[in-house]
Amino acid sequence: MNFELIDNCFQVAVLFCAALAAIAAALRHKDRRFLILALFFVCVSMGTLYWVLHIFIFGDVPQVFYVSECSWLAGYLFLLSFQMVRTDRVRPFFALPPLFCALFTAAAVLAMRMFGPSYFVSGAFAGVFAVIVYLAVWRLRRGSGGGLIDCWLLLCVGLQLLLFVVSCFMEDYTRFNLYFAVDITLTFSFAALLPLALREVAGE
Amino acid sequence: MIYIENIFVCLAIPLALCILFIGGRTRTFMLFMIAGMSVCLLSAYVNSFFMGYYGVSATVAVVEITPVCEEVMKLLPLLFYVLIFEPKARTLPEAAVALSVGFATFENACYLTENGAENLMFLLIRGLSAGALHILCGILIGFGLSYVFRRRWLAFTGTVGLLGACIVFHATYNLLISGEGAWRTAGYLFPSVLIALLFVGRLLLPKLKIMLA
Repeated sequence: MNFELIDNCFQVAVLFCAALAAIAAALRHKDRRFLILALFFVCVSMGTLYWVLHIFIFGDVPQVFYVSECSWLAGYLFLLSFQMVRTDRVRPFFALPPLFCALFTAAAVLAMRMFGPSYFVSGAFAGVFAVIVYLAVWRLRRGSGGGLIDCWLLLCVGLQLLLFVVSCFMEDYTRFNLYFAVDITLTFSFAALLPLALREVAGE
Repeated sequence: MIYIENIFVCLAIPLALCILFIGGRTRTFMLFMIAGMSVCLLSAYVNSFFMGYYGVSATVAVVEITPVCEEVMKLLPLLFYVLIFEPKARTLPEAAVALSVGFATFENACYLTENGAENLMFLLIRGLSAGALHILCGILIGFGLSYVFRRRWLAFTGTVGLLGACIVFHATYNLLISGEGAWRTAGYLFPSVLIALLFVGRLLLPKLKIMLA
């Protein structure tokens, strides 16, 4: 078994456990932020699971439609929803520094076509990443609390972009390399959002 | 070749007739069942179009194209209902489930017409798993839109996100049942197990006095 499959199975397992923990937290704290986080974990892990199963069953990656990408995009939309729920109590307004950060993120995703040759898919990812970055930077500048989660979300987006940059320089996915190091870090970063959210809710 | 339009007419006419004599929530439920059947019929056309457009085999279409088309098509009547009629939160899950039931029923009727009804055991397993899959997707969309993503922009990101979740869930099921042996068994089992767990959870949650805000 090559390392790509090991890495993907690891991601599925970790995020599935995180999803179960998030559902338990949602029931315990009666807070929908955890439910949204659970949906995020489920979508990312299901997208990866579909990818892995396709390799296992058909011996190749999906060739026609972007099913896994749909799932990952849904995951990031839930992450954006999570950020929107957190920002709900403070009124957002226009600011230039977050806008520059958001535009830079969107331009990076679009310029490098990080999510495949489809302009629609790349555009959708660019838009979602840009809004996540905008809200995170805006909240950090405003100092409205929960700064650690905002920093962590920026880290997650940064790692996701770094993953695609690193993948441009990698050819051999059968053994451990920098690509997998970034991917495993990204998986743990996703999972760490749950304890951070628990800390935020406990502090309210 | 099967004449799915004829099957649709046969199944939908009695339901449409009964709508004339019932009212309230039962009528809404019945209307969404017919809408589900109509959506299934239209999805078959859309799937065939994309299959021809991309020039792919039936297996590739089932694994990669069908889940996307079917879930997008199933969402459209619900979006229409939400945006035009602005229903109460509690009626949306019922509508979503009715739509899924109509979709699954029509899909099963077409499957029976094409493959015969000799093997009861297989039809039982297939009916249970495909029905559970569509109903789970309906529950996810219905409850998600009603109780989690209710307001303004959150409704937009939530709806698209839930659609993506349903697509990958449906695609994973189709992928597993396209495989052989253990993969296929796992494919038939996992929606049934999930719906059973959901049912147990639904029964237990009020007893544990846990309700989501």
